[in-house]
Amino acid sequence: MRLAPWSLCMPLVAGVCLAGLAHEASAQLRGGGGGAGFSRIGAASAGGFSSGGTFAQGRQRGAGGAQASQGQRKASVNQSTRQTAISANQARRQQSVSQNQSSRQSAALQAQDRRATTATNIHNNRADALSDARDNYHGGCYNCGRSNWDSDAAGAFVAGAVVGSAVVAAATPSMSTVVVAAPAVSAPPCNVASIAVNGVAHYYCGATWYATAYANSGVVYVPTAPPPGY
Amino acid sequence: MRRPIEAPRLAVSVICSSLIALAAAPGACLAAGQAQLPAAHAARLALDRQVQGRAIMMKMAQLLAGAPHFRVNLHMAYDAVQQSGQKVEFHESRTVLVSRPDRLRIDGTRSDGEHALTVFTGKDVVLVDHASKVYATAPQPGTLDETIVYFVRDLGMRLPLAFMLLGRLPAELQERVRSVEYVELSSIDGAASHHIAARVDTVDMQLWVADGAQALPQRVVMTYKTAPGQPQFRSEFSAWDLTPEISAAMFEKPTPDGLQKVAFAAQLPRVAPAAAASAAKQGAR
Repeated sequence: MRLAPWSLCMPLVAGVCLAGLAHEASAQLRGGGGGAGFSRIGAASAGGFSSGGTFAQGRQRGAGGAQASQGQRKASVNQSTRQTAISANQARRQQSVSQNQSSRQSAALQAQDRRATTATNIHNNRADALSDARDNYHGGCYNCGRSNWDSDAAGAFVAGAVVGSAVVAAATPSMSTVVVAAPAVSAPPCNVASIAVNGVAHYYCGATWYATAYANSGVVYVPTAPPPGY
Repeated sequence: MRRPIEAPRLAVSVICSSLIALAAAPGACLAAGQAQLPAAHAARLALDRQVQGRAIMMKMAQLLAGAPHFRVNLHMAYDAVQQSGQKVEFHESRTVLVSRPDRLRIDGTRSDGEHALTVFTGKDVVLVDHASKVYATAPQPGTLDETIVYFVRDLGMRLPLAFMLLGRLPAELQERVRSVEYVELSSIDGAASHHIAARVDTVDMQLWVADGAQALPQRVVMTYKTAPGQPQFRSEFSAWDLTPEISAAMFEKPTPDGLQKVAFAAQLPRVAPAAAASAAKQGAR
């Protein structure tokens, strides 16, 4: 088989292009743009055995130092963007679910006959094993038996997002129950001196008290009740 | 002239056809039987793979759950799906030291070099984030199993592969794994390992378990199939030690000099901003 001369050149050209791109990316990284702005967390970061199915949200590294007012402005813009994205994702998921459902039903019907004999045996074995497992499941661990307890690792980070949204929603109280991604809050929400309450730094910003706290995404500032005496 | 010859030819043809049909009939039956045989054989093999896969997974679970102490290094990577849909991979290394019934120490270093320490002392849960120069602490609720669940579910902290540290790992797997299948005998860093594919409701897990009596996990890949972008979490296990040197100092409460104390966010009472503002006004009166 004879190859045209240009076809021999293609890999070389592609290689040169890739090398160029790699060099450019490397230069960008050296310039400090590499990890900045990318979220480290999401459904897979928790390494749990179940998933809440969320996008990477939370603290955006490299975007620290945001004041509360900046956070509020960013969040109101981000919120509408995210709500649009959430609606689109919901529609996509629903479509996907319905497609999957019909596929599964079809496949299940085909497989049903084939599996009928062996399934009975497996079911019996599994039922016995499950029964044994359930007998021992709660032993020594109070309230640990709830399935998917570690899906809250993703949920926890959404909880971090609730914390963030509360910070964000200070200017828009009607939206205080809407769960949106945590904005970058890696500095006190306003420039005031901290007050130590039980050793934990609190800040009084505007009309709201914030406590310094640690969430899945790192340090966050949580709206809290006024400390005793304030 | 031709007609006398045609008649015998026709007769011969009919006889031959009949003979062929008779000869072919058992063949057809045989072919149908052969078609059923591979299907039954395949079903049998599939069942064998399920049984084998589950047996190896449970052997691993029993070994880990029954170990009073162990130390292992984890080299983890995971996809973080950004709002744009772009997947970005991050890495993390952790050394996990388990001492049942109630001690745990995890030294972790992220791919950006930031270091964190988590210790369950038996009395306290302590998390030290050297990068943020903060630490948080909470009373430890009980055994290692209880504390792991508390740490992940109630405090909302990350603890990758937490389920594998549980003493009730076998029950956990029995409860949550919907199907298991043996894939193949493969090699992880030159060591023969059984490759197993398991499914739970929202996660597909692949597990590589060392061949032999020490059925320890060598690698795990988890795909979060219901999450946008179907991100993966991957971890290699290395330097397994089921008889590690244990000292009380390893599980002492760290003394984080110069670090700021913070609360665990999940422990703080949630206050709606309006309520916070109102409470602040009342407090000011």
